[in-house]
Amino acid sequence: MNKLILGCFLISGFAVAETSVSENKISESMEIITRGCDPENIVFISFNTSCGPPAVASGCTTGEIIADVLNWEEFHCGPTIAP
Amino acid sequence: MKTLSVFSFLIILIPHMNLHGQTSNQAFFYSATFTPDSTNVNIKGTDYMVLWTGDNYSVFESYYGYQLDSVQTVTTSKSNNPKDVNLDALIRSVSSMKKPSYKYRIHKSWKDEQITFYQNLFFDNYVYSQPLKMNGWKIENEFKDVLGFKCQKASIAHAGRNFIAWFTEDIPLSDGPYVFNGLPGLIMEVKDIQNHYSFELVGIQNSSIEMSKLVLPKTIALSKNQFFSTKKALYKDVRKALLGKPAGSTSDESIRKVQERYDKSNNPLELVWDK
Repeated sequence: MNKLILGCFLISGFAVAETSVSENKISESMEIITRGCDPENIVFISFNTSCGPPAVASGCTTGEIIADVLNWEEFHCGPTIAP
Repeated sequence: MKTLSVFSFLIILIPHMNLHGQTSNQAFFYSATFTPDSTNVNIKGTDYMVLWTGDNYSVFESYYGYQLDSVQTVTTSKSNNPKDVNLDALIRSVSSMKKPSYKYRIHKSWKDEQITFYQNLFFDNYVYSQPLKMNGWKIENEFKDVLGFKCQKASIAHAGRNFIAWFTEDIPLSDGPYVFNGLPGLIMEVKDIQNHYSFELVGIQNSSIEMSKLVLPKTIALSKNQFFSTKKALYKDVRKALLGKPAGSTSDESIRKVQERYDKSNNPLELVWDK
């Protein structure tokens, strides 16, 4: 099943991200919270976080994608939020 | 883990209170410090907070978080379709901005006598409610000046900590930072006696913000007890936060580093929450 992917942020640092749009496949075994939109319309973004490991952010809207990117960045690299 | 999975799917669109038409008229800015690790109290975190106040309603949040949201709101005002937006530019913009340490938004409603607490934890947004009223303030006969306002001392035991607050009757708002309220004037400063958490007023502005928009989207509604249990479980095993997420390249090594960080985040403001 083909799904839209906004793919591959090739980043030397999180602050200098490069993006491109492409078609790709998402593993059908992947458990995904659809967040209330048609699964066909979920956008996936692969990007490198500033401290190394790449992550995949997803969402139905720009706001959701950006929130997910920020959450992944925080998850991998911190700083840890106030407890 | 099963409980968390169930919660993950209890996604409820914005709940509870009638927020329509809640516009702020003043903004009070606070410098916030916190001590994340009780085993090393020399490590301090900071944030810059704002209390938006209107008629019988207020919102307390990180100003850095507010700024991040504002950039996204402006960018997506014409279309929120990711295919219509220059994500490159948007990500560059938000990644260069200061990030909030406090990822909550606290709505106080005097009409409903309720606090609605929105909080982001890892990849999900949560919401719970609690009564507005704070019992147990002790007002003392001690005064000091804060930003030119005559302030009076008050103390309260809250959530397992003892707090000292300084309020001024010159600003007749029974409000303050975090969940603090219930004094006969605005709380200008409040800190616990161990000095692990503090909020100090640093500025006041007139403002006109639509507070109904200052909520987190797609929240998972929990009781306060459930929320803190969920938070504790996620902090103890951060891998649980990845349930339902696209896999990415989260290696065991990177998870270990994240877990180490969260193990040092062990000193919440609310030490007691199961009541």
